[in-house]
Amino acid sequence: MAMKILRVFFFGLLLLQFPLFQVVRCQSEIEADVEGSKLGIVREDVQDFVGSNFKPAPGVETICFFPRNSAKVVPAGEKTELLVGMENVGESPLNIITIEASVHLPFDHRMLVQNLTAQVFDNASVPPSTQATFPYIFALSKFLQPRTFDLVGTVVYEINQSPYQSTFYNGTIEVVEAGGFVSVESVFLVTLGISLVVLLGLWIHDQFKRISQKTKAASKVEVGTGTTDASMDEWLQGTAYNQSSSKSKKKK
Amino acid sequence: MATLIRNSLMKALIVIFFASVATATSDAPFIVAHKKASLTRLKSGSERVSVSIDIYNQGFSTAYDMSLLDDSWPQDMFDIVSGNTSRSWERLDAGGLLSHSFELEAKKQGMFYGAPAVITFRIPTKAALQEAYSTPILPLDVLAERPPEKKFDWAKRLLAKYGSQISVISIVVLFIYLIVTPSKSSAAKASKKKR
Repeated sequence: MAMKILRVFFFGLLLLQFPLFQVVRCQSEIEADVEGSKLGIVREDVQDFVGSNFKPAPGVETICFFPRNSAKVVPAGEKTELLVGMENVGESPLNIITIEASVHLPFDHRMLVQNLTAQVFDNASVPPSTQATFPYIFALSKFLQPRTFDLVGTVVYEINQSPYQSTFYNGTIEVVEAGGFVSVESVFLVTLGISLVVLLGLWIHDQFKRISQKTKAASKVEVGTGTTDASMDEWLQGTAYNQSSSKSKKKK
Repeated sequence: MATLIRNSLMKALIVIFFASVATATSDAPFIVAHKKASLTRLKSGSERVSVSIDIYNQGFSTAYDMSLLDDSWPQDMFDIVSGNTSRSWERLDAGGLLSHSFELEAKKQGMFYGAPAVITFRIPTKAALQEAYSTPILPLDVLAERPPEKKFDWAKRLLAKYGSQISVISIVVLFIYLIVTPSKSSAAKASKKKR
């Protein structure tokens, strides 16, 4: 009876703790601005457009293309280029204001990893019924973990003085470590591997030798005149040789 | 049993219809052209500009009668050394790539802002000639005054680039050499013992 009451109290205490539990949340927000290159002179009102949200215009199609990089591999810390193709199906020319991008975690887009520098254009326009291509060069922080991330790229443009925004890419990129084949770690690992293999080989060689020695019968070894003790010769008794050999024996 | 089969068939048809609607984009070629220009200073002091243009077709159908024209290099500033600033091809299939390059010699000094190259092509569904522009190029500082390179700049650059790798390999080689070769002092001790 007492045990039952104790158990009930114990579980009740545990249940009471539930609203007080705080789940540890990990927030990875590494925001690093990377210096990008600019084409032409900067517009005065460009700051109004950077970081804002507009709707896409109906007569505009965008496409994103990674030249010579169909696997979308981005080395961390090095410049990568992507091409933004714009098609103006409408009747009025459109002016490109800026191209910006940001890197997010693939499973949660609210987790911002890095905001990339916006490329501002001064005199870039796409006439009606034409297609145009614009480059966007970016570099990710070299401390980024090599894994898949989500890259969201948007282009802000204006048609007849009203701003619009289109997302030209919302997909995954593969971030890899930049660096050649020969590095401190790889050389160390390779040498360690070779040395371990050599050690193993030597150990196996020793084992073989020992096994072969055991099976070999003890062969007679010719010693020569060493076995005959010179002090046994009677004609040397009492001479200087006998005395000196006894002295050396004492020393030993 | 018959109604069940009919229901599942209807559902399959609806799914296929929606799938086709979702994936149906304009069946036209999308020309993405990448123009790159780089400066090379020759030993004689003259400067060469190498221009390369890559044309990709990222659309879903073939583009016919492709013609590339790059008029952005004025005659008074540049001379054509090799190649031609214009070229034409018969077709570019979807997912294909066309490349063209030429070389120019710079005559005048100053900043040069290049305009994009123009690519024209035809598509079966429209009669008018379609136009596409390539990427613009970064401003080129033509025949810029370069400060003379200090004495060992090239050595410093090589060191900065390959220094760490060379040092790692040399440490490893030295270590192996030390282990493999017997030292002179131990050899002398052995010879003394024998005597």
